[in-house]
Amino acid sequence: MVVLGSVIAVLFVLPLWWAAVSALRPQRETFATLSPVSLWTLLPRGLTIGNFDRLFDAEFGRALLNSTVVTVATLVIGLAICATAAFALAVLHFPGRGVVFAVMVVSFLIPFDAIAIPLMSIFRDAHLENTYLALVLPGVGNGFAVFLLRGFFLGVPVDLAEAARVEGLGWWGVFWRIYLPLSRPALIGAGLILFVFQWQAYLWPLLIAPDPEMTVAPVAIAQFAGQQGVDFGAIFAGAVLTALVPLLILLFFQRYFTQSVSSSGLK
Amino acid sequence: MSTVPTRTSRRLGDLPIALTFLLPALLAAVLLRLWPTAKAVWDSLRSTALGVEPTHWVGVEQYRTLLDDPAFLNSLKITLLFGIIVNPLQIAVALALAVLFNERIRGAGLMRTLVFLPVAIPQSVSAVIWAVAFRPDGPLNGVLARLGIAPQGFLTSPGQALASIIVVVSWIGVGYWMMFLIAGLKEIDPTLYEAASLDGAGRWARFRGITLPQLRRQLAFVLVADTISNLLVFAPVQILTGGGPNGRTDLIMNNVFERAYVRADAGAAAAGTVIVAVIALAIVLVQFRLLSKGSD
Amino acid sequence: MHQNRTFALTAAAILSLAAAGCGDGGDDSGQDAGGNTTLTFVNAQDPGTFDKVIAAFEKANPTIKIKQQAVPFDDLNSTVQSRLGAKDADIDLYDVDEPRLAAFASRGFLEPLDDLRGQAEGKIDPNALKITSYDGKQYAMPRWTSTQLLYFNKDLLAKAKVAAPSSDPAQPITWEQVTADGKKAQDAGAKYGLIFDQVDRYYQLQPLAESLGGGPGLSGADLLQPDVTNAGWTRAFTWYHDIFQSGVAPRGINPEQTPGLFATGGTAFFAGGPWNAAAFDKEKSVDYGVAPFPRFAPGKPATSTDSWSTGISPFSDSKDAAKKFLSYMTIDAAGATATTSNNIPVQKEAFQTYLKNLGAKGERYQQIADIIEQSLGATAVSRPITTGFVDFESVMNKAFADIRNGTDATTRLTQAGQELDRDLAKYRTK
Repeated sequence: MVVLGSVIAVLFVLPLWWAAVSALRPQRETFATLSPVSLWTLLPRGLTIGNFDRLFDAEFGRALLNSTVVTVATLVIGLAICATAAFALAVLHFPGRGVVFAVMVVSFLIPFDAIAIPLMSIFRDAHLENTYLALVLPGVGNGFAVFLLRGFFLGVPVDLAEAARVEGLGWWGVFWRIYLPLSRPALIGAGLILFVFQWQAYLWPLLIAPDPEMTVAPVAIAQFAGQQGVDFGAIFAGAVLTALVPLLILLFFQRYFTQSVSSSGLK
Repeated sequence: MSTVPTRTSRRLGDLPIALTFLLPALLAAVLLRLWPTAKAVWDSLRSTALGVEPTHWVGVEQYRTLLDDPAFLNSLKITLLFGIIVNPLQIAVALALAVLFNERIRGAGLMRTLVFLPVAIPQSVSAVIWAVAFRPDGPLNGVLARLGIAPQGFLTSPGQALASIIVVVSWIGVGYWMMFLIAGLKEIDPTLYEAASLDGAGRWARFRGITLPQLRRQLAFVLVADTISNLLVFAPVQILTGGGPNGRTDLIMNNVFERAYVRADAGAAAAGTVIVAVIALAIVLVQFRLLSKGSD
Repeated sequence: MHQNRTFALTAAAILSLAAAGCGDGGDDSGQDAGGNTTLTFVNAQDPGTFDKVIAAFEKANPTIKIKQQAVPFDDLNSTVQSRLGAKDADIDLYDVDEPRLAAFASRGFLEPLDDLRGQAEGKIDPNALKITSYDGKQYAMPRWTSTQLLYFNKDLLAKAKVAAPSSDPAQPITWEQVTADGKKAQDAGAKYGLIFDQVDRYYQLQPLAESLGGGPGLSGADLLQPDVTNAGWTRAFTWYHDIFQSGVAPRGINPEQTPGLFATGGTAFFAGGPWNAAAFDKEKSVDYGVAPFPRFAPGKPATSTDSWSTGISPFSDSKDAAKKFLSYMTIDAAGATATTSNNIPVQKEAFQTYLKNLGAKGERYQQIADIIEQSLGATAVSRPITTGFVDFESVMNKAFADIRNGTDATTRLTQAGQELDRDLAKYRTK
């Protein structure tokens, strides 16, 4: 099992490994070692940090920080918005619930990049261009996240909420004290959805926040693919740093992830 | 004074409190998704040669023109083929990996993080990496050569290009979907497995009898979300093949994206978007129906 | 770690609130209270390209500041198009890809600049002024032009006992000869015989058809009728198909990776721009020579040309200041020289300075300078000026890719002709 798991993990990470190695060596070496394939394809000989130098000369640090700020803000606001909505759709009874749920579903069926142009007009009319708010907003109300959380909330036994209500707990209390603590895996999942949407965001930032101060990491990396040549070294260096942030977060959250709610005996 | 709603107050139910819970998300969905979509639909019914005012009304003619365009029809066909292969493939692999990395093995946490990592780098960089990997003298053909296999065309071969795109898209996506399934696996009560083991159930019997039914909710989510995500894929295609060779990788969103952003044909692009959204809706409705039947 | 995270979350929340608060304060076009103007200049050039000219201009005009918005090269046209479509008043000046000018102008995305045209007469190459005008009006000011030449790997040709092509600007080698010599070089150990810098791109491939008299691929008064199945086109692209089919040129290498093939020393011939020389010199791993861009044996020489121009958005609130900067950057000799970077300026004095500086860098660069001068003067063919260019280019680039990947040229060009007929119809009915 360990062997199989390791082999698969290595296979998945191999292209990234190659990119990381290529971030640390001169571009000539990256392409000279491509064929024939040898160990040197995957190991650097002439180590250099020149690629990172050029990256930071182009103020990549700020771009990465922008991406991080936008993503974290989206996670916090988005989880709050999506979880409350999912709770209402799963637990509360009110007329029009079906309609609201349908609106949520339809909202994630619409390809976001395809509506970016009309949305940009709306944002420009509201003078939101080149603001963090403009970058964060489209990510916060995510239909997928609502859908995921609602599915999970539906699985929480109704008697738990009923019992708490009988004891005088309000709906906010039920939400906060019963549903949220029980839903850690679904919240992590919803967090993933919100995270990936923003971390990968490219077209929208390009349209709504073109100021150099507002550049996000994927756009900053793309700027190294110029008209008269592509700086592969800097692109890979940028990708390595872009992957590092979520890598650290994931490893940090690992222990939350491995804890099972079932062990808390509530289920 | 009971806070548990009585039958008579059920008519309005929890509407006031529900509204406070719902309002932010509802506003976000309506203002940030439905309103621009409505604008797009309106655009799709009007047209000019150059995509700016003054526009004139063309109505459904826009859709008729689009559905008459062999390139658009081809992209529908390619997208169908792509979907039939990529969705079951990704879900099966994601499930297998989730089960594997959920075992109590050393380093499982690190391993699943590594499998997840491709989704954390910009898709444009993923595409660049694979563009190098698929080169005629690239590492993939280099490995094949070591195994004594003739070099393959990959992205340049009409027969292999779509499969190559599926590899790239799955490399990015499988780890992501796996994470949702692992989260679901963590929820399964371990005593179920213990009881089954005592009854002498083998690994496969436990998987079928416990894992699959217990994972139903997460699987349903992954099925719906993965299908929709794959319907909307375009960045790797745009960068790696531009839809070629001979339109064999022209996924529908690549086609729509090109109309919107390269050719600035706002009307046709909007019509294409509407068609994509309608297809997505149809898929989701069918899936919901199947899923609700399955749970009976 | 935990504290940091809490901090980051709080900071992010505050920042987004702050952004909300000052959302409508972000208008930086037009004048501020002190009479200063900030111009936003959108372009996709390498960082630093405009540093010199901007510094010089700001020194001479202390009340005007130039702010650049750099867009990734591949996204420039699409983002500018989308933003101007939404009447984005943030853009004052932007870089216009010259063949796209007609489409931009007829969409109303460019301010007419006839006053600047008057100033430019006699100072800027008339060809460059011609391709930046449409319907009798000047819509952008040309900044640079471009050309193509043939690089060859001296070692690989010597090893194959093949004579190096002449660097005489008036004596281009033929494509037939290049193919044959490339094959010989491969037999003698070269990995590839020939590679185009911009495989599949109309910019570099148009001269193939033009050399054989096939024309630009569009005909008619408005250049909206496809003409890609004539004898010249068919013959040129059957040759293009064959060099990939026979393995002289490699399939599956996208334009980003082509210069690397020559720079790492495995390719005999490389068709590219003068700008590639700088990259090859940096790598120092290839001993190369230069020759004029080849022609077909039965045809005449033809070379790609044109480059970037800069236009002014009609939605800008600071058009006069923008014109001032544009005039300095393109018409003024000192400004145009400061804007040269490693491109070929179209301002006449700046052009002479450019050639002189280039030639001073050594013998090989003198040859490049001579080739540039000859090709721009005698063999350059501009891309067609038509509202339908973007559709035309995207259909043709796909056709070129398919032909390279093995589709029969005649069949694929016929199909492209049908696609064009359909896609260009909307412009014709105007």
